[in-house]
Order: sequence, then C-alpha cells, then structure tokens
Amino acid sequence: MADINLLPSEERTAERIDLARKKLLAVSIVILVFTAISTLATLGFYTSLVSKRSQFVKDVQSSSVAISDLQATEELITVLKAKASIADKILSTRSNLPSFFSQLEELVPQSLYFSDLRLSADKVVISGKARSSADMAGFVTGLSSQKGAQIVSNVTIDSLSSDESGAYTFVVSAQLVGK
Amino acid sequence: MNLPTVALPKIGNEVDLSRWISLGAPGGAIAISLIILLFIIWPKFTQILQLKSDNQELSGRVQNLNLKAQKLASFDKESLDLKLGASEQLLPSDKGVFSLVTQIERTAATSGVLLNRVDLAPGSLHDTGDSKKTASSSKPGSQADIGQNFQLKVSVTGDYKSFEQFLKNIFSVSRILAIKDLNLSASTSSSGEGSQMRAAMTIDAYWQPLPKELNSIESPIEDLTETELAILNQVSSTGTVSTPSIPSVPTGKTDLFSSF
Repeated sequence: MADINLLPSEERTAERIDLARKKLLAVSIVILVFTAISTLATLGFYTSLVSKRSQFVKDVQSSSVAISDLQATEELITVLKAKASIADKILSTRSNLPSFFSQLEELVPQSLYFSDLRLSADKVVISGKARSSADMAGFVTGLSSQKGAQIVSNVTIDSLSSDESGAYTFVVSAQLVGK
Repeated sequence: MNLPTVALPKIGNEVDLSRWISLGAPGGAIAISLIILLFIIWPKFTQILQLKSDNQELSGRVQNLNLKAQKLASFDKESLDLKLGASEQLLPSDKGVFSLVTQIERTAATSGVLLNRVDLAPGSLHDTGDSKKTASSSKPGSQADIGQNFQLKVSVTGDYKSFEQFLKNIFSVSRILAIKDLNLSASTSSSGEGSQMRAAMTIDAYWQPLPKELNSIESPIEDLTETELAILNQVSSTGTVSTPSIPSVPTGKTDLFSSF
C-alpha cells in the first residue's frame, strides 16, 4: 500500500528550503572561516617575506659598500691573478730548450757532429756527418730509445749518403715531444 | 464563494519567496569568500612564491658578497704588492721593448756569444692590448694565443757551450720569453771541439696589459693556484728578477745628421 503524505505540498517545499538554507549556511560559515584564516596567513607570510627581502637588500648594500672600500685590494688581486694565470699557461706550453739540448747531447755519439739544426714549434731537422755507419746507427738508435723518446718521436732519416772516406752525411727529422 | 481558493495561493507564493531570499545571505557570503580567494589570496600567493625565490637569490648574493668582503679583508696588502711586482716582471704591463733589448744584450755578453743582429717590429708602444698580436705569429691554440706578445729575431755567433749558456740565461730571465724557430748552423768546419756556430732564433716576448675595469662586484675572487704561487715565489726569490734599467745617455746634438 502506498504511503500517504498528509502534509500539504507548500509545507514540504518550505521544509526543503529550510534544510537547504541550513546546509548552505554551514558551508558558507566553513568557507568564510577558511577564507579568513587563509587571508590572515597569506598576508602575514607575505609581510614577513617583504620584510626579509628589505633586510636582504640592506645586507647586499652594506656588503657592496664593504667591497667597494676594499677596491684597491680587489684591483691588486685581479691583476695578480690575470698575470699569474697567463704566465702559468705560457710556461706550461713553453719548450724547455736547455733541457732538450742537454738530453740530446747524451744521445749523440762522439764521432758524429751536426752541421745544421732547425727547430720549429713541433719539429726538429738535424743535418750532420757521422764517421761511420755504426756512429749513425748509434745516433738513430739513441733517438729512438726510451731516453730519446722523452724529447723526440717519429724519427725519420730524410737522407743518408757516404763518401769515399766512409763518412756518412745525414739529414734526420723528428717530432718534438711535449714541452 | 470562490474567493478563498483564489487568495490562498498568493499568500503561499510570498512565503516561498521570502524563504528563497533567506538563502541569499549564505550564498552571498560564499560568493564574497570566493571573490576574496580568487582576486586577493591567489595573486598574493603567486607573489609569495616569487618573493620566496627572490629572497633565496638575495640570500645567496648576500652570502657571496659577505664571503668576498671577508676574503678581501683577509689579504695582506704588502704581500700582494710583492707578488704583483713579481707578476709584473713575468708579464710587464707594457711591451718594455728597450728593457728587453738591454736584457738580451746583457745576456749575450755574459754568455760569451756575439750578438750579430736584433730585429724587431713591436708596433705601437702605447698599445693597450685591444689590437691583437703585433707581430706575425700565432697558429690557433699556440702559445701566442695565450698572451699578448711581440717577436724579436735574434742572431748570435759563438761556440756551442756559449750558445748553450745563452739559452739557459734567456730561460732564466724573469720576463717570460719563448724561443721559436731556432736555426743552428756550423759556421766553420765542425770536426773539432769548440767549433764556431751561428744561431738565428725568433723570441716571443710576452706582456699583459692591465685590465681596464674590474669584474662585477658579485664576481668571486679567484684564488691563485699552487703552480701560480710557485711561479711568483720563484720570481720573487731569485736574484735575477730585477728588470735591467736602460742606461742613460748624454743628450743634445747640434748637427742631427753627423755620424757618432
């Protein structure tokens, strides 16, 4: 059997509206409280950040003044660093010729002499004369040895010719190693 | 007798309307809250995010500046002056052409070689370093690319030992010099010891103009590396650091074209 609702339809509408009003009121109160709290928190946080920022700006200014007062020292250290850094770079790439010659002297047989030595950025060309083929062999072996490899690499005999006395005229070229 | 039935619905409608209107207050409150959230809180929130990142950056800047100020204050000015003197001897701020020529002449004299020729074209003496490399030179990546330099072509004659000494002396002068394109040739028959030889070489003389302006105030101070300090200390400690003074000569001549 169907329920019989004895209330008139106007009463029921009024009840529904009241219920909706109460719900809406509760929601609005919640939203209002949330809005109030978040507004206060946001504005408070914003204010603290702004005051921090102005403090930082003051700190930057005071540090900048302190650095400006030490400008003479900064100039000194800037010039010093620039020069020392460039000097270091140049010296690290500069060929150490005195060392090259002293090492080369140890590799050259006594019965062999140079008539010409041309040294460019990365290559050395040596012309000279050796008393015998053994001296020539000793020279080339010395250049190709472990000790010779410290100063030259890719040793090439560009020309080698003997005369009637058995002496050899030679042209040897090689790549310079490292410094 | 239809009048009451006509009047009742009118009263009911008014009651309904007032009830609906009573919903307006909480609805309006919600709408106002939303407006506040949307137009006040949300923009402030984005400003807060921006401020936070700004403050973070500012905090870093303050820290760097404080560090820089402390570091600058900690330097000993006297020691810096001494090091600067050493660096000036390594790499003079100007070309120092005549002091270099004097230095080479003295080096040749003390080494026992005969200085046949000094050939150079250093260009403007007041070069500020804006125009690059004055002399011919420089492949990319070579020494000449590192610093400013000019070239001297030097020719000497002497025995091998004297030449060797000349090389050592050139390498021991405080100013940075690099020898390039060295040609050695025996000038007489070289079968015996003490043979005469002729040497021609190109010498790169380096210099470094002073910087015209400092870096930004916030750029950090770069420390000298161990090697750089060692180089400066070596120059400071050796007795050969002083740049030779150019000897003074009497001046005043009535006939500008008479021979000396």
